[in-house]
Amino acid sequence: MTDRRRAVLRSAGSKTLSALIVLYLAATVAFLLVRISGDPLAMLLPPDATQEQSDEMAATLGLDQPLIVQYLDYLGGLVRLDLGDSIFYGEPVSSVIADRLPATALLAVTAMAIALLIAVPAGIFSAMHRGKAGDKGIITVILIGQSTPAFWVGILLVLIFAVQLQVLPAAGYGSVQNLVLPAVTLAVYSVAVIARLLRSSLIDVLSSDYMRTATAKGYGPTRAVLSHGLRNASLPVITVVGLETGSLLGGAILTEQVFGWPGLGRLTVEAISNRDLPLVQGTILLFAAIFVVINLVVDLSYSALDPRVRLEK
Amino acid sequence: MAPDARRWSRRSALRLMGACIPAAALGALAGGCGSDDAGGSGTRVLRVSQPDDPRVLDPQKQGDMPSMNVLINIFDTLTGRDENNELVPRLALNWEPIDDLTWRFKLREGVTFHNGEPFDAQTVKFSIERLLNPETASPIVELRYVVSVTVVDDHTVDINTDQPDPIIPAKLSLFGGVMVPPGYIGEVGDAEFAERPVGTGPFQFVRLQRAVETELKANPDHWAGPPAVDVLFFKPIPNAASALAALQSDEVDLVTGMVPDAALQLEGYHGIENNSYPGIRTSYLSLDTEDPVLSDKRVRQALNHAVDVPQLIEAVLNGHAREVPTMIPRESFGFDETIEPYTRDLERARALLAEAGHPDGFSTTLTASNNDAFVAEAVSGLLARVGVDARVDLLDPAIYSARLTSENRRALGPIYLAASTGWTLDGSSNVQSNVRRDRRQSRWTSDAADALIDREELTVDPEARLAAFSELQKLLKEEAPFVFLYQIDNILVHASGVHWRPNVTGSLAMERAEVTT
Amino acid sequence: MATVSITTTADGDSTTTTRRTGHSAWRALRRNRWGMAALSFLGLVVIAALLAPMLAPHDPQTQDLLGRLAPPFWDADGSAAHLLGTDHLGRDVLSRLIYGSRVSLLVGVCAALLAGVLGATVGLVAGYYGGWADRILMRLADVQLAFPSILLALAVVAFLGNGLWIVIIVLGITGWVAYARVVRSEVLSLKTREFVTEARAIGVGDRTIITRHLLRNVTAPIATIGTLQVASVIVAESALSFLGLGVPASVPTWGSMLADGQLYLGTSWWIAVFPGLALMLTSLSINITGDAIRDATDPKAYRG
Repeated sequence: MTDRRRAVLRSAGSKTLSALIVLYLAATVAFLLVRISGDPLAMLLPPDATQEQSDEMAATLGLDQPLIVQYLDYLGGLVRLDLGDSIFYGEPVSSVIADRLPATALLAVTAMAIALLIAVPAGIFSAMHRGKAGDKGIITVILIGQSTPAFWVGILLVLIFAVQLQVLPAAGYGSVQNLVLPAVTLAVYSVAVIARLLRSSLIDVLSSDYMRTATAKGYGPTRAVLSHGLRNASLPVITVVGLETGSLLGGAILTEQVFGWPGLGRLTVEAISNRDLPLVQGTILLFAAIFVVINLVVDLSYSALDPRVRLEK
Repeated sequence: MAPDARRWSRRSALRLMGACIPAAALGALAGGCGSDDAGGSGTRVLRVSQPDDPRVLDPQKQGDMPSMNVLINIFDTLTGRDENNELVPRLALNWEPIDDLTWRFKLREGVTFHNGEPFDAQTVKFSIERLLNPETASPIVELRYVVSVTVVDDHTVDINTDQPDPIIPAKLSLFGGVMVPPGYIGEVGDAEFAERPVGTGPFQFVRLQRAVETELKANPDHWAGPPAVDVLFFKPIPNAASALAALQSDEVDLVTGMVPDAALQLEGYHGIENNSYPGIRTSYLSLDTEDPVLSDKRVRQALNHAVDVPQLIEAVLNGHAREVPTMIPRESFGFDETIEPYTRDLERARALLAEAGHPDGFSTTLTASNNDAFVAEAVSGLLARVGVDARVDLLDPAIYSARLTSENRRALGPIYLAASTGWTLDGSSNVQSNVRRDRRQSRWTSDAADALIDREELTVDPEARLAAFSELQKLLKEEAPFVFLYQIDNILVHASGVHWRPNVTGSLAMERAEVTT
Repeated sequence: MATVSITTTADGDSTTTTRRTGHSAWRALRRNRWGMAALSFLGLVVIAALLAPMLAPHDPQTQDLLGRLAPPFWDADGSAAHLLGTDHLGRDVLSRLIYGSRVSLLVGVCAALLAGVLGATVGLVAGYYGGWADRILMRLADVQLAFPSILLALAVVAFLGNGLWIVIIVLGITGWVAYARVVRSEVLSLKTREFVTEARAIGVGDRTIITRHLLRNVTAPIATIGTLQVASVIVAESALSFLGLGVPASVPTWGSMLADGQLYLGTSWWIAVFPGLALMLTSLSINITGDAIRDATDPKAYRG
């Protein structure tokens, strides 16, 4: 027992450590990304600005230092959660981001909840009625959902529900009905991915010997699925929920743009078009950090949920 | 009757469903929730959309449209413009030049700031000196000839210039003449002032939630009486399609900053009105007269003959603009109505190009801000008719304006699309930064033009100025350092219950706005 | 991300790694009605892209300001001159749609190929050599996954400029992880199989084993992922164009047509709806084809 606990702890420790390494590498990528043009000043200044202007801008951004010094400054700042000042807003990047984070969190969490609410029943139904009309219908819908760009879904939803039917607002922020269209838009792709995966892993489990035994023991198919199949099939789904965070955050960039949602996605696009380097760096890093942290949590809960997962590796 | 009833039901239905998200929902919406109902029933609310948030709330440290549109409601200026574009008293009651270098202003009495601080001659001295102080780093340049302010008595000031400045009263209707509270700024400092601005204007600042809304409330003690709207929201909606959808789904009442095609979308839509009002924002193409091809006057004239402005206005802008002969719009002082616009004549254009050695046209680049993509592409299409292949190069607005205002006059390439708003309603505003060779956006070297600019800028006598403007416009037309386009209308799309009209500058001063439901 | 579902079914079950031959795969594919319909649609898109100058009735850039916002031919105000109507500058929507397919296919195919080459190489190396190489490469994969690819693409395009090739390279580089993971797990199971251990025993070099024995056995999953990835790259490219950061404005693309048309949905729906449909149907067809290929080549997946 204590051996097992120690092993669990060691495994959790090593997972956390590797998440930290990924985070560090991601921070480095974010740092390099805003400097890939060779000279970030070139973006902010006209093609042949005077040397004086260029120097002044460089000093403001700390770009007059050697790259390695900038890098160490940047890492030092990160440790203190200091991401520098936004050029456009003139405020600390961390406070600009903090203003926008709740809106994106609300949107993404709601979208994920909607996605699970739709995808889980659909996936189970589909797996249990494999090959029948209902299954085929669901597969078709899944394929369409997976193939439709989020911004196109958003535009169509606005056209139908805000402009034609006038039952939901097309923009705005602050109440439940403001949230509906953006969250549904963002959920579409994840519904498809999760339902599809749940279906295929349930089918795998259902055809395993051990489920056949359960059925042979006289369990009805529904009970067999719910009591045994689902538990086993849920593990890959949980992993995918973690990985889906990435596409949810990516989708949020477009969804927020279509609906004018005041979150990180819109902030990022604005920062990029304003060439607000510190802010772009900060938002990119934050997107990566959210992904890494959520996947670490998923990873840890995964081993807690499934005793079969080998503790080593 | 019927349309209003329907709007009401739509609004009530939305409200009904609009139960606030429980605080448990991440606490994210704290402060945002139900703000539309601020003040309860019977409150007259007006929600205005514009493309962006105000960037800075210190009226002396900003220069972008979204900031000005919000701040003009919170602050007062010494003079103002009414709906008929007449210069009218605001915090100054009357004014006169005492000599070539001094203007005397008599001030309104009994005015107080939102925090109770009184407005008087000391306020004027403080405000203008703060504006001119290099530490303020104000982008506002109109008062560049002002050297000092002398307090004559509690309600009289003299504004002293180092050169004759004939249009000081007009300039003080802009943010050069904005009045800020000395006591409050001294007490809380510049940073806090920019967070919670206090002015004497018709509305008081309540809060700014970035990317969501700026909320203002009526100032019941305003010297002109309280405004007819109790709560005023400015909502940033960058995308025109989203702004229209927001109007249709009753998230906003008034949509501003629209291109003409956007207004077209809601033509005849139930409960929504489209109105357009004359505007003075004047668009033009800047030509680099040192470019190997464009240095030839005949080429520049050919481009003016080729760009069919009437067709551009009729077809692309749905008639919501007026052709302008040169750089000075109709409403501005100095406009010479005897000067005709270029004739639109493709044959003439081709002949001029052939004369200049380009019988098959030439290739060039037309740079524009992303916001003007539509017009830039249409202009490029018109140029293609005479064989001029102008590749459209679109820049993000931030990059565009950085290059436009940079020292490098070639940063936007041989041809770029630009526009100027002559805020002072004086011709000098439209030609102050792009004609005289020493000005930042000038790409033309002409002794005659430089002399004419000096004459209109440094003379107080109106007749002499008019004559200088006339000559300048004739010279501009002949030498064609620009392709002259149009002055665009101010387009408003709004719910039928909103009653407001802008003056020609199109600024969103909502003091006189009314809403009926 | 969609490709994750494939990796989870390949858990190294030793009986299922034999692939069907190309011939029988094609026969299986032909029995799939949807698969064939999708393939036919894709054929049309490819033909449109290849023969654009011959098929397009008009130059896609030529404007007709007086004839702008004309509806499709079936509308009372429409005309046969512009079958799918004209846009806000009077350009022919059908011609722009046809030319737009070029950008979509070019970007989709090139980026997916680039990602495939990168990802397969990484997967082969990591799986075959294991050890440090494996650990470092898979850690890199984790880092790559942590950034939403649209975000990376946005930033790179904004900073480096919006050339067609920059878009292709960025979307290609952000897509390698899916290939790498699948190829790696396949290689891990393949390398314990007899034909590999024997080859190694008789002294065949690593490079030969990788290129001759392993690569051949992972082509089927690579093809499946590659097909699906073409769809996601096409969607990503249109997203960049939609945000105004795709290929330059002088090239018509479905994404930029959609962005232009968004404002006109109330009155001139055809400007945005046709490119939207083209985008959706193309992506759908590729996904269906990809699924069909997988079903046809992988007997185990076919069960599902």
